[in-house]
Amino acid sequence: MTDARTLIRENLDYPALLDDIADHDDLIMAGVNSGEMVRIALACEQHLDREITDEELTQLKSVRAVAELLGQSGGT
Amino acid sequence: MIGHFVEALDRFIQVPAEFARYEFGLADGARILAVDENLLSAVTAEGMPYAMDSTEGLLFDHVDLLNLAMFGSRSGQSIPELAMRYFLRFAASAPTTWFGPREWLVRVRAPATDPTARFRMQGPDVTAPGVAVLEPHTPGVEPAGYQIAVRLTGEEAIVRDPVAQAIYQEMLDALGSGAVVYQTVPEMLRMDHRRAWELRMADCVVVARMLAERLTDVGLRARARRGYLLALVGNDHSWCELYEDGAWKPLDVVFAHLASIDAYGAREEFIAVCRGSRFNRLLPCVAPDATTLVYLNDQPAPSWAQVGVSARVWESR
Repeated sequence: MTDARTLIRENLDYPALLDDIADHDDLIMAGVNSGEMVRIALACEQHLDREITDEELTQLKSVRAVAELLGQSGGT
Repeated sequence: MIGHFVEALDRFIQVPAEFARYEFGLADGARILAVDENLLSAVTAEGMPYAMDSTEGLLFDHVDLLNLAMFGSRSGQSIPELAMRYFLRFAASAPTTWFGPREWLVRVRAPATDPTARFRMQGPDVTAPGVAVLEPHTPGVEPAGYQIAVRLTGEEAIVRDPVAQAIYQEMLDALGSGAVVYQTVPEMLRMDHRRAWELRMADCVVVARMLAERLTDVGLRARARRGYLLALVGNDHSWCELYEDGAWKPLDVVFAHLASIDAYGAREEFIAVCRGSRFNRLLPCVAPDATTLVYLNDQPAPSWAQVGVSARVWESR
C-alpha cells in the first residue's frame, strides 16, 4: 500500500490530509477534492503507462482501490 | 507556452464585471492552470481580467481561470481538461454499457470551508424514470451532505418530433461553429440563460434551459433537468427533456457536442443516442428548470464551492 499512499500524497494540495485517511476510507468523503482525484487518476495512468478504463475509474475511490489498480497486494 | 494562453483570451467569453467574483490569488490560479505564477502574471498583462487587492495582490475570477485552462493549455494536464476527459470516457465504451442497470452509492458532501458557512443541497429525484432506490436517502451525513444507493437504468430512444429535432440541431450547430462558445459559466449567469446565450457563452445548464424554453415556446412539452454525471467523481450536469410517446426523452446537446470533439474518443453512435436516450449514469436531482443544486448561505454557491460527489459502484451489505 506504500506506493499507493505515496502516489496519492504527491497529488494532494495538503498532503497531511492523507495521515487521517484509512486504507478503505472513501477519499472524497474524507476531504479529497475533485481536482485532486483527477490528478490521482492521471498519476495512476502514468504509473501503469496506459489509459485506465471507465470501469476502473468508477472503482478508484480509496487507498486500497488505488493499490489494487497499481497491482499491489495488501499490507502497509 | 504564454502564446497559447494569450490567444485563448480571445477564444472564450470573459465573465462580465457584474457577474465576476475576483477571489482567487496568483498561487491558486497557477495551480488550476498547471503553470508557474510568472506565466499567469504575464498573461494578466496581456488582458486576463483581474482585480488588485492591497494585501492579496492579483485576484482572479474562478470561472475565468477554468476557461483559460480549458482554452489555453496545450498540455492536456490542466484540471479542467483532465476532468472532461474522464467524465466523457464512458462515451468511448461499448454502447451496451450506456443503458443497462448500474448500481451506485452516491455521497454528496459540503466542501471544507469556513465552518460558519451554511450549505443547502437539492437532493436526488427518486421519482424520476430509471431511478430505483436501493438504500434510502440519508440526510445529515457529516460534513453536511447526504448519501443514497440507487439503481440507474438507461433507455435507448429517439425524439421523433421534426420541430424539436430542428431546434436541437440548430443549438448543436451553434456550439459546433463557435457562434456560441461552450465554456464554464458562473452560476448566477446560468440562471439568466438568455443573457448568457446572447453573450455567446453557454454550458450544459444554459443550453438545457434555452432548449427547454425554445421547445416550450413552439408548443411542445419540455423541461430542463439537472443532477450529477457519475464517473470518477460526480459532476454537475444538465439536460433537457421532451415529453413524447408518453415518456420524458432526454435531449443532451452538450454531450453530443463534446462527443463530436475527437479528443474524447467518443463513438459515433454516442452522438446519435444523445437525441432521446437516457444514460445509466445520470442522477437527476429535485431542481425544477435546472435551478441551482447547491446553495451557500442561501445564495447559489460559486464555482469554487463545489460539493464533493463520490459515486462508487454499490455493493449491498
